[in-house]
Amino acid sequence: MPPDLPRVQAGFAAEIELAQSSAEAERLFCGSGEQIQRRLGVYRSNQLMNLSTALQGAYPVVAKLVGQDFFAGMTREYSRQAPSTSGDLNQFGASLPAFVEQFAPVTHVPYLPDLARLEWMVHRAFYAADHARLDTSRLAGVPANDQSQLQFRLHPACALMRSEYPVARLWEIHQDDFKGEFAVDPDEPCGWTLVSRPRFLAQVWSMDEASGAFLHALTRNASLADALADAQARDSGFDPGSRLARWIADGVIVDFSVP
Amino acid sequence: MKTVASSLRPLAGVGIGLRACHYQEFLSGVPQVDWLEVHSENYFGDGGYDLFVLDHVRQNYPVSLHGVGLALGSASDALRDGHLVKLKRLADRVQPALVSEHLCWGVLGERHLNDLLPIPYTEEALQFMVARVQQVQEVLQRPILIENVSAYLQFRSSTLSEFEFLAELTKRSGCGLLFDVNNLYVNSINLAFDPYPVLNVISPGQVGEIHLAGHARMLDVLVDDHGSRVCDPVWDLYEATCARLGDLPTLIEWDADIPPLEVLLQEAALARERMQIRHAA
Repeated sequence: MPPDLPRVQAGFAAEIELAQSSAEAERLFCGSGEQIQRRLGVYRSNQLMNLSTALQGAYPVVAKLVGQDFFAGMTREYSRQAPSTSGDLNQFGASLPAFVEQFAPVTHVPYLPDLARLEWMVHRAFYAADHARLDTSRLAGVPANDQSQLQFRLHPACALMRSEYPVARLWEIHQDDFKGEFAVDPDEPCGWTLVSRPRFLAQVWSMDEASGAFLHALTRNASLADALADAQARDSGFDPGSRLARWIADGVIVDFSVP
Repeated sequence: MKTVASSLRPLAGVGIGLRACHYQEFLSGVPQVDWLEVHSENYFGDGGYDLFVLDHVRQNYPVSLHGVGLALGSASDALRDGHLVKLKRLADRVQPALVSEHLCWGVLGERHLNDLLPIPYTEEALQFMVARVQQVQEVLQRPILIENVSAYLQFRSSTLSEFEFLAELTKRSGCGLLFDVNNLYVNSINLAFDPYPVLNVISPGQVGEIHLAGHARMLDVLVDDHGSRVCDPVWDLYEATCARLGDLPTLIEWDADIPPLEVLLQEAALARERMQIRHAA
């Protein structure tokens, strides 16, 4: 007898995919056609609910902006184009930013893809490895001659992005606990946004060009001298001393090595 | 393999599912509950808050790791190594009292359906599941429990009942049974059978844990949504279960519209009462 299990499962999955069950469903399952159709509907809605709940957990601001019902519909379209590939639903949704970029009903919200990118960075930061703050006394032990070659490392949860939109501010005003004025200043700086997670709570920072360039260089293992050159090319007045102290205190820079 | 009684039943009393909305209470105090169960996949991260909380509660309670993503019965796909590696990493970190998964499938090729879908209960599927369960037990270096799932449809090709299948699976693979009383009740309504005779198919020594939960009614279907209190017919079935199988570690599951912790603790107290009714009788 040929193996039945793969055939049955492929048939079951296909029936969940369809909006209306096919004649094949009556060969797979007991019951009347009408009953099978309704019961398959339970599987369809369970699956959509699981995906939509997971996606909303990763993209709460996008969900808030487009509304719950629309978000559920968008989840269905998205999961057709980019099906879940992991049994860990916290992995689902990595390509949603690219999807919303071309999803016609939302292309009139030009900042939505970048806001989604930022939300995915925040989501992943939540699950990233922990790291203790940098013990600054270690820095004092670095010989003066070696200082320019120091390679600083960011916290494993840190991620940087660039946008033409003030996504950090947009993200901030849509947080549930946001108490300030619900408005975005048209002059709000765009450019670099940094996500960090000093301990457990993700933080979102808008960065000036020089700071963003500096941290971006660090993510590519640049030496202090090279990162500084990148930053000062954008702002000749960039002062590494005060910035480094701040980023170390904020748990953004957590380690270094001397090559 | 060690006897089921010693290796599969390290828990006692009534536990609840630990969910993020109750973290604060478990960080600031030690609520009265015998043990805790978590969904393994929620703790697959490299670090962060969830693992911090889990490490903390682990000091105060035995913990059971309940997986929802291995999709053991998926025929089209080799068991995904990455998932099992993460489960092993988590089990090494938490040293759980129990590890459990479901009698289900959910992967088709590259695609994960992220649902606990029933498999046909055939000899072919049984051999397949036995091999899969053994594979997991080898990686984890411990026996696991396998749970009966809720179902809205049944396969024409099934030649065994779900619990005949599970009895054979436990016998051949050395795993134990996680008996979800609510799932049995839900299926008995959805698939129109009497759930009580099913208890006779379950051998007391094979059960390592019991699950209790609420469900929702959608027209003629009971949907296993874990979103409400345990209903009376399920309590009655639970009492009959205790009468036949003895006191077993029992979990109150609540995964949707999660109420204040107090409500879960009340449900746990009700489960204890049902166990005691049996002793008084």
